[in-house]
Amino acid sequence: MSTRSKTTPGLLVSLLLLTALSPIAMVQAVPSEASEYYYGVEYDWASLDSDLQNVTGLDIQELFTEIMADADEAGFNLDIGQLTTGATNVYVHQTEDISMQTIQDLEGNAVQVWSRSSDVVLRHGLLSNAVFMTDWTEPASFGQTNPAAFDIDVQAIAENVLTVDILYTEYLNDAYQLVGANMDVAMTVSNDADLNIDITLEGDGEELVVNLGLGSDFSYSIASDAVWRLGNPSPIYIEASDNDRTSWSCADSSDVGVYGDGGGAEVVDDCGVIDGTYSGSADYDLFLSGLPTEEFGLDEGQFDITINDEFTSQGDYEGEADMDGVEFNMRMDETLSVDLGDGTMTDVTPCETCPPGNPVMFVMMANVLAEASEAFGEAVQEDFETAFEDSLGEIFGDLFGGDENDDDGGDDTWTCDDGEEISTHWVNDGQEDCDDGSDEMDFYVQGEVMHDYSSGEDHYGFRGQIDVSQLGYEANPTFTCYEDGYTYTITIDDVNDGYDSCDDGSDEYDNGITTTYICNDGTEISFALVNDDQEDCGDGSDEPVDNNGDWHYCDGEQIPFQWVNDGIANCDDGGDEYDADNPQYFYCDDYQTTISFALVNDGNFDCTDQADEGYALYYLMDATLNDGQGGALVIAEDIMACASWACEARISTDGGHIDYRSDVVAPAMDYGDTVMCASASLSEADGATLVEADNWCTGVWNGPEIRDYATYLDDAGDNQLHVSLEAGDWGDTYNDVTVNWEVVDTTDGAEQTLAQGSEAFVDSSTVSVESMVDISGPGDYCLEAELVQDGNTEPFDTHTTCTTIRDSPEPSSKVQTVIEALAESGVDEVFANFGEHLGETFSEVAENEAPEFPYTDGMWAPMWSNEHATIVGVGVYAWDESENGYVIAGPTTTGYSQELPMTFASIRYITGVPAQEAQQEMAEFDDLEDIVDVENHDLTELVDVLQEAGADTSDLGLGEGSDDSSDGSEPQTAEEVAEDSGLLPFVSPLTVMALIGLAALAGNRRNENE
Amino acid sequence: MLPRPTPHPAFGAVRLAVTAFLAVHVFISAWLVATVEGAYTEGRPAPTEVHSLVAIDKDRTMIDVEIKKATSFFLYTLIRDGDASVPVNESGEQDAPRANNGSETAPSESTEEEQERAWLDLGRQSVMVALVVLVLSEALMLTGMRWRHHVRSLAFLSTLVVFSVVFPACYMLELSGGEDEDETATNTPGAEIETVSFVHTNSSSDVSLVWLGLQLDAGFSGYDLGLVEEENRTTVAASIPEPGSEDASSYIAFESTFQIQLGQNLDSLLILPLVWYMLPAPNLRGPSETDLLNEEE
Repeated sequence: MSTRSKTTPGLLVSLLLLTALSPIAMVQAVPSEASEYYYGVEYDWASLDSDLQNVTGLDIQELFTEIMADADEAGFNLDIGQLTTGATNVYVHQTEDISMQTIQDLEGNAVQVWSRSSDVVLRHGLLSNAVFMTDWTEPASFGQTNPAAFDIDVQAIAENVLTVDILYTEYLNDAYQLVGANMDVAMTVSNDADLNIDITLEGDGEELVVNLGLGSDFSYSIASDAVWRLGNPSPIYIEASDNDRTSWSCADSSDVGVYGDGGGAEVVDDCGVIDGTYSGSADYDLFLSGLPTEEFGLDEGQFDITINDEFTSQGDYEGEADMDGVEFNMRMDETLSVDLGDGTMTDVTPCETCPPGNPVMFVMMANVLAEASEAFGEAVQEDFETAFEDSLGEIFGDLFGGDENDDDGGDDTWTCDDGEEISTHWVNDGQEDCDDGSDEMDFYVQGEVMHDYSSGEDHYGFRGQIDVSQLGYEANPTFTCYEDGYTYTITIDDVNDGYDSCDDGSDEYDNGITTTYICNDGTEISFALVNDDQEDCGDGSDEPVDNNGDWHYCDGEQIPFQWVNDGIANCDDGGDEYDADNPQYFYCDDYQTTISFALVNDGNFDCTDQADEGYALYYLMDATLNDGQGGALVIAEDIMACASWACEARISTDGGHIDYRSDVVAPAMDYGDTVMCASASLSEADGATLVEADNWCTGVWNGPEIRDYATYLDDAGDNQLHVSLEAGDWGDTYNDVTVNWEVVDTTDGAEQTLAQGSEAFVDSSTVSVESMVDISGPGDYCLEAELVQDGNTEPFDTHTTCTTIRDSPEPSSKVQTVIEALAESGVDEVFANFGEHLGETFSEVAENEAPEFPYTDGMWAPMWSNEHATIVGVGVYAWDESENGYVIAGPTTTGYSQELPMTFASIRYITGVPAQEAQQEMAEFDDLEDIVDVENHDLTELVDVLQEAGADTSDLGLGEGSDDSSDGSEPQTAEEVAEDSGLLPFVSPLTVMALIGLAALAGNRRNENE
Repeated sequence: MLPRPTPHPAFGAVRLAVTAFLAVHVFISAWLVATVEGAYTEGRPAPTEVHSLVAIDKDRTMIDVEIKKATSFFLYTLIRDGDASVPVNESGEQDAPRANNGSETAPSESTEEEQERAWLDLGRQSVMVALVVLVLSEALMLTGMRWRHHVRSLAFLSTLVVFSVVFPACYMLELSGGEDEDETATNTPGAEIETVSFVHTNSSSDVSLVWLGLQLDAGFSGYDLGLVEEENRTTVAASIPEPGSEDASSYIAFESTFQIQLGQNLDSLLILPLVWYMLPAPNLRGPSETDLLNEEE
């Protein structure tokens, strides 16, 4: 351990260092001089193989060669090749306009602002060809005249284009607060993929030739002009410049502010509204060609099909801006000095959580694209829903999630206020399923049977949900936990309660993680004072809300404090009323003070802690329960309901739950579903009704039930059906229930029982049935299952599930012959050998060590400039063992070398004029041919690779002069056959007649001459 | 009347060569081209369009199908109950219950396929025989056989008849699958569902002549039971749903134009009579070729 004495020069140096390292808050006013800079990143996908090899040590071409050698050793030919060409380019141009302008804020008020803009151009294009060729012929053997063989050529072609143009202009006031922004964004995505498969299979003298082509083209484009205005001027840029860690979230205007926690800041804004116009289009084109028609019972030939559609829509949208999740986490330990392209060095700080451009722009872009795409999608969906009454969601839900053949008797529907019908199961399930939202009620109760553990009896009861804000209850203040960049909130009563409610323990002061607490009014207190039963914040936001009020403790019970000395004896012992004949005393001030009970609730505070005067919060509930047939089961009136344990009906102010167990003992229920209908109302103590829950009928299940998910009937092949059935209960065991099942052939409307069985519960909670049933062939079959209670004939639960067995398409005799011949040829041994060799090859690849990597550490660095209060560039940095720094990709950086010991990613970073020129050039390009240097996509390279491997590439259409598929080959489509076949080009009949006429005239002239 | 050269012995070889060339040209060309342009004009699959082109040559049937604006049709097939099986007759009255598709005793698959293929094979064989006879008849002109001009003319006319009548008829017979209407549905896009589960149907057709072919304009509309709730199918089959009711949305209309034409190269056969005229054969024994042609005219 060393000690140093403090000297004046030492202190000065320390101060200078601290000044240099501390964030420079320079963003408090309008910049004195407008700045402008360009930067861009370019990647050439032709370098993908070498980059991959640099990083992983894996040589793709070498791997292909080894795989091909494996195939040779196994006894068949395999040739693989691929060629990828592409480019990904992103350019950013940022400018400032420091002249004051006038815009309207969210309220329509004129405000003075200055502006700065980001012009982003992104162009991505990728062109890829891959070829897979394999062939094999059965080795000749004595007497073998028709050896089996296969020859399969597969060629895949993919084209991918992404273009994004963004013009983002944000407006800031003279305090550098963000007022709003405008955005003009256009994005296009297209993806074309083609797959050509040529298959020739031979066996037993038959030859099966299939030339399949399939492909898909998709494209989507969306463009939008959007305007965003915040509800309050946001200090987000100021805070991001001032703090190591800044998060941004949205809230109501009452919660707007800047909150601090553990060295960071949380900016809470009324994020306002984004509204704009959009123009969207989408199209798809799917095609399949070369299907051999003879395999479908048609004449020999081929079948080509194309399916396509396109959608366009334009309109406007408006939505609340969502900035949640935005974080600025600065690496203060790695400040950099970089050249932005103007030759001067600018200090920047790497921002770990920032995108490679203005973070606010990216967030707005995400909002705009999401809102515009959602509006476009809704417009398209509305077009279809005009014709399709069911929503598309239901259609696909039925397709992928539902089984229309299942019938468990639970198909009851519920009618929304607007007449729409939905499943009863969806009512009050927490999600709005009716268009008008009427399926989710502010207050509802449903009948229940509740067990009383003290008496061992079952009682009728009520359970439901209520919007507690309608009762005047207040929400508890919350505390925000941070976890790996995500945030979540807990209520303040979980803070300093001795338990770690945040995963990192930051909610407990004793853990030493959180030291201060920002009250809702902005004041800062010690975190130790939170939830200590003393209001330390001016607004009380450090303590849980008191939703109970004051209650008086009698002998084993509680009564509202206002009932004390009200002239009515409410406690069983009458102890809540002053008895002059037997005077009692009231203890307060932590039992330090004793006053006469007569002074309690006399309108004057007689205790220092004012505990002698009080008022409890409670309501009165009326509730009725009937059996759905009009028979009353429970009629409860004036039941005290509150958030305290003292009340019969308990209200959870955090979850909004309400439940009440009546005194009425429920008789033993029959097995099955018992319908009960419940209604309720809540009133003030004076009788004024606050909320009412309409009569709502629900079923209460008793006993085991057939489990839908485990009960099915499916095709087991060989004219057999597999029966699976399960019934049970998760808790109780039964002895008086039997499962009956039968499989019925319902083909042609018949009802022929094919098999049946029974299984009884024997001290068990679950019964399972597994069985195989023989069937005669294709048809409709149903599994009908029921649960019957002993002594009854009517089942209390039924379930029917059906399936249709169809004729599977029979391959033609040619296909069968060829497949059988191949199966008997020993080709499976060839593939088994290949698999073994391939396994060895990949094992060797896995064992290969990556090349020696000269770098020991790296950093992805979006560059935050406090001077400009935004991201001004992006870089990738690395360090070697000697801690020498290198710029892998990025601007010229002081202290970092651009002479790399190894270039492992062919990324080009440009700034200044080159970036400007590249951006302007690229902005004009939209097509793959422009974005990608397609002339460099030299297919002859691919052909060379394949030919070197011994492949015959003449049929692939890759070589010179072989692009025209009609040259020297048979026409392949109906259109080609109709128009291009024959020895002569098509000549119109009129032309033919004219030519013959001319010939006749010539012949006539010749005759005359003769 | 066009002027005509004097017969020359060399003309016979030229005529034979031209005839053989044209026969080969026609032989390897498309013989028949059928197009279907259809569109759903009302109902849930609207506005899906179906464009189909079928080209038949000496040994293959090539089929191109394009389905445009296909999403509506795709969704329609998803929600439609393909097993809707309330059977109705043409007048919309309910028949006795029957199976969805396969309750009737059908011929065995192989026999059925043989029948289907037999028609087109028969047509192809007819065309090949006609073309061979045509070439042979021209070769016959090199001989001095009596009635050779009549034979050649007859062979030519037979070839035209085979191409324009026999082969299209064979195709239509195969298309209709003999007498099985269900097979018509299979081969005509959109027709299968019409004939299986539509009620209160209206159909119209209009046949007209086009150059080297026929055109059939057809319209079809009806209520698709596959779009009707199972419990309502009997009701819908019995009476037309009330306009605006849920079941009325099962109404679907499909309009199509079916055109069947000879292959575009077949008209080159019409050159042959002019070749005969321009390159006359010498009149060796019988009346001169000119006389015969004059008689034919």
